Amino acid sequence: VRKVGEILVSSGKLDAKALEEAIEFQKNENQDKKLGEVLVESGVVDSLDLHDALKQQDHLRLSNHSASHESIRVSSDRLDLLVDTIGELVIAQATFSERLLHLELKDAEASRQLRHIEKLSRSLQEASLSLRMMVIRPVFEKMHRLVRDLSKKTGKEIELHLSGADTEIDKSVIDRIGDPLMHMIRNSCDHGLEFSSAERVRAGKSPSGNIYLSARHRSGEVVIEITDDGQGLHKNKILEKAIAKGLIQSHAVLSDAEIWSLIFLPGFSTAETVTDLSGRGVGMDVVKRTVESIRGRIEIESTAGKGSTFRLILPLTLAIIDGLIVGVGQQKYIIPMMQIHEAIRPKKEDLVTAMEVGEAVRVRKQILPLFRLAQVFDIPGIQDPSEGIVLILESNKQSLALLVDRIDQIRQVVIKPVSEGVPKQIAVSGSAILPDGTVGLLIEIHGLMELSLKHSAPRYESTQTSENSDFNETSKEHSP
Amino acid sequence: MSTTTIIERSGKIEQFLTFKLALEEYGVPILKVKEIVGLQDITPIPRSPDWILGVINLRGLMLPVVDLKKKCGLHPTEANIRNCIVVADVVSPNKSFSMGILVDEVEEVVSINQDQIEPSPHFSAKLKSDYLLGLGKSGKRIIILLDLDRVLLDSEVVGLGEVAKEVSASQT
Repeated sequence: VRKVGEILVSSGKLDAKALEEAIEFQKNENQDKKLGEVLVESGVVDSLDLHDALKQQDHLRLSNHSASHESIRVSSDRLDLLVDTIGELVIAQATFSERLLHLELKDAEASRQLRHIEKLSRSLQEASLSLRMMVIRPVFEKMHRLVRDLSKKTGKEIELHLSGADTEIDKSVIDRIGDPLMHMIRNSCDHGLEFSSAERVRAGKSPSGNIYLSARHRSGEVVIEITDDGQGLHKNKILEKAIAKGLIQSHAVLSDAEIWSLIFLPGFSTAETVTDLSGRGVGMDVVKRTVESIRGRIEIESTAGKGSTFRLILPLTLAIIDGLIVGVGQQKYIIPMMQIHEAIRPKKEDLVTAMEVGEAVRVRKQILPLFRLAQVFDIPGIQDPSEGIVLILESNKQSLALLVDRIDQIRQVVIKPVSEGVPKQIAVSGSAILPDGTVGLLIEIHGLMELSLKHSAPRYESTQTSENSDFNETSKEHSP
Repeated sequence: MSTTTIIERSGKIEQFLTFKLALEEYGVPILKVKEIVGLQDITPIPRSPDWILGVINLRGLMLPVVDLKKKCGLHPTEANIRNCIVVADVVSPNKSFSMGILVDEVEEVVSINQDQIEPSPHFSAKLKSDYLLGLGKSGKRIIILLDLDRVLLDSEVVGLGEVAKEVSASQT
C-alpha cells in the first residue's frame, strides 16, 4: 500500500521536499504523531486534502485485499461433482415441466414460477460450465521468455506481440496446448524469420522480426494464431524434400494447402542444418497429433516473402461435443458431429450385396462399405437398409457408411468416461446423459470399424481416401 | 475398563444387508453398501457378457449394473416392482469404484455376531468358496454372505446356485 505522503505528492497537494522535511521532523522530534498530523500542523497540507488522501489509501488497501482473494483452488473432482449435479438438476427440471404440461394445469402463477425455475437452472448450468474456463494468459506469457532465449541463441532480433491473452478456454485444453505452442513459436523464430536483420532490411522490412500470438473466440471455438512476418514457407523446398523422401510423385500437382500439410508428416524437415532448436525432424507431426487429440485442427497460410500464419482451431472445452443422437431398435447412441459427412436415406438401387453378406452402398461416385450398427453391436434393428438412415463417416481418412434406424436429434452432450468395472469396448469411447436422463454411449468410429471387421463377414475394403472424395460442405443433403 | 469391553464386544458384531436373489437370501457387509436405488432404464453395453446389464445414470455418475443371478447361474426370475439396485463399493488392488447389483428384493439389515459366521464348506469342485465370506446364522435363517469384491471382479463365477441348493437342503 502506498504511503499517505506519496499519495499527497502524486496528487500535487504536497511537494517532495516538504514531505522529506516532515518525515525528518517526525523522526527526530515527534515519533508518536502520524505523518498526516505533522503535515497538517505544520500547515503544508490542508486537513481536507489529508482526509481525501487517507480515504484513497483505504480504498487502495481494500482493493489490494480483494485482489489477493480473487481466486481459490478447488479440486477438479469437486467441480465435476458440481457440474454433474447441476446437469441432473436441469434434466429433472425438464422432466418435471413436461409432466406438468401433460397435466394441463391451468394455473398462470404456477407456470410463471416454473418458467422462472427453468431460467434459473439454465443459467446455473452455464455458470457451472464456465467454472472450468481459464484465461490463456499464463501460457502466452511463458512465450516471452522463450522468444527472449531464442533471440539470444539465434542472434536474431525478435519481438513477440500478444493479443487476446484474456480469452477463456477450458483448463484441460490449456494444460495441453503449451507444448505445441512452444514448438510452433520455436519454428517461427528459427525457420520463419529471416536469418539476419540485414536480410530483412533488404526485403524492405523492419530490422527486428515480429511474431504475433493471438487468441480469440469464434463461434464456439477458440482460434489461436501464430503469425510471423518472415520469409514464408518455401514451397519448392517442401516439394523437393517430399519427392526426395518418396512422399509424393514428382509430377503431382498439389494445392497450397496440400503442400503445407506435408510438413505435418513424420520425419519431415526442410531445415538445411540441424540446430539444437529445430531441424531434427521431430516436430510438426507431434504438434498435429497433440492438437488432434484435443479435437482441434491446424490451418496454415503462407505468402512467400511476407510470412506465415499457423492457426490452431480448438474446441472451447473437451467435455462437451456436438453429437448426433441416433436410434437402433430400442437403443440410442451418440456419434460426434465432427465425423459425420452426410446423412442419406439410401435408394434400393444404390445398395449392393456381395456373397449375400458383404454390403456396400453407392454414394454418388463412391462405393462405400456399409456397416449395420445393429449387426456390429448384435442388437435388433431394421432389416431393410432403405428404411433406415445411412451416415457417411470418416476416420483416419477412411470413409464408411453406417446404417442406423433413425436420427433422433443433434445435441450438445457432456462426455464422461465409461465407468470402471465395465469391460473395455473399443467401439465405445465415452458416454453421456441424454435429455431423458438415460445413458447414451458415444461411438468411436475407428473402434467400430475394427469391431465390425472382427465380428462380421468379410466386406469391401474402402479404397477411397479423403483426397479424392467429393464430400464438402455443399454435399450435406438428405435424399428423400 | 468397561468401555473397552463394550467396544470389543461390539467389534465382534457385523451388520449385513440381506437381499433375495431367486429364492435364496444373501448378505453383503453393510459398509460396502452405498445406497439402494429403484430399478430404472439400463443402457446395455454392446458385446459385453450377459451378466453385465449395462450402465445407469446415478445422479450424473455412470454406474455399471450387474445381474448376479446370471453371473452365478441362478434361476432367472420375473421382473417385479420390488426389484432394485444395490449400489456397492468394489475394491481391487489397483482401483475402487461403485457398482450396482440388481436384486429381486431387499430384505433387511441383520446383525450377526462373528462367532455365528461359519466358514463356507466346500460345496463342489466347481465352486470356489472364496467368493463367500461364510454362512451367517441369524435366528433360524442361514444367510449366504458374499465377498462382493471377489464375486464382481472375477469374470468366471459359476455355480453359486449350488451353494444355495445345499444351504436350503441343510436347513430342512
